Amino acid sequence: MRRQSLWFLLGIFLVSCEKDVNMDNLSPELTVYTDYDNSVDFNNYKTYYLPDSILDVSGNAVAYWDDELALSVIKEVASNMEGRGFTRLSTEQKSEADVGLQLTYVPQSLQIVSGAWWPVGFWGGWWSGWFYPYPRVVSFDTQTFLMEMVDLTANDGGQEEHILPVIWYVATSGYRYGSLRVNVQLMMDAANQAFAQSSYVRTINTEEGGL
Amino acid sequence: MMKIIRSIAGKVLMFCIMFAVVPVKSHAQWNPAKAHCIIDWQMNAPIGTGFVEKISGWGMNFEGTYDITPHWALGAFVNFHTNRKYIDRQTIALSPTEALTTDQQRSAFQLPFGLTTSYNLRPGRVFRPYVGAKMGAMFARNTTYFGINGRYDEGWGFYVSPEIGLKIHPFRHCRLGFHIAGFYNYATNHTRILLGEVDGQSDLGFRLGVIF
Repeated sequence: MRRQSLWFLLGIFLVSCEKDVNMDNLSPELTVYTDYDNSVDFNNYKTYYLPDSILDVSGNAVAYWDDELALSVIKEVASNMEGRGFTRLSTEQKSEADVGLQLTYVPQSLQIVSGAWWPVGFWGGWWSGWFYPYPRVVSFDTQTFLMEMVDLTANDGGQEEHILPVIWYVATSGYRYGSLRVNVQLMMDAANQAFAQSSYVRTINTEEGGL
Repeated sequence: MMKIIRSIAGKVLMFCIMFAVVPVKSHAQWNPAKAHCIIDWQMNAPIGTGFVEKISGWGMNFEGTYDITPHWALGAFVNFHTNRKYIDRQTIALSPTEALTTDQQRSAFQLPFGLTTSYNLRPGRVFRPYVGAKMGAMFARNTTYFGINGRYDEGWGFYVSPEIGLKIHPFRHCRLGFHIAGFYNYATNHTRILLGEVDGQSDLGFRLGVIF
């Protein structure tokens, strides 16, 4: 049994010889993932509704973030949508919008608690094993910024409860910094990148109006 | 190309088994003076994988061998190595509809182990050049880190590695000596991460260490 444990531990030791990666080399910019429904033609949509707040999901609490910093992110997204030919409608006109955009912010603090100890007796009967007398905690803060575009013109098939298909999905994530202003700048850069890598989000709009 | 490499690997394997096992009969009696241990630091450069192709010195090699004849030695080995490479921020098309923009820190870890054999060209001299080969299994884990995320793939493959080297024994009455070797290896491991696919892994490198 002891010999088997020795081989097992030797295997664990060798596999753990992989050199740790220096994550400091990675860019602070958020990673930007996009996906879309390629069965739709974005040119069929002319107008959109974008609320003046960002859904803030912190843990189990949900709130609406609508201060000056939040508005700067919303303004950046609206500017990109306008650049792609879409017309923004006001809250009063939202029932007439072709698509809706929802922005969601998810700040998280992740903690990894680890500790390891060898079994008692492994080193001999006189040895009581060794251990970390304290939990080793690695903690880091992250942020995820989501943009979801839903088709408000979709036929719900006569069902009472509307099911709106998401036709464009953007998930950006990365480390969260102590300064909210820095985090907001990272979100704005990520939003711009999402549009840059989604050239299909575009319409030819000849109508006037909107906000 | 892969067929040629696999064919060569098969021939090397047959060659090593033939010449490593046949002489055992004539030197079957255990003699501790013929047992040796090698501990090396190694430099390693993956070639042709397209995943991580950057030389690094994050690895070690351990061998235990026995001189079954003055010319032939047979034993076991295990070594490990990590190669890393930073990939600049870029947009990757994951599928016809999916795209991902990120930079990446890639890490390729390998852990081969198995049998090793060598043919000493000048036994009993201070400088003992040799040709040898290793074969066995290899565990490989390729990882890519991006943002707060990471993906990895790992697996097992067949491993073969011809090498040439020099064992230096400068002290007449001391077992301690020095070891220099250059090697090539090929393993059949297959891993796939994001768009980085490795189907067969080759490396070139060298080792510096001690023998006693």
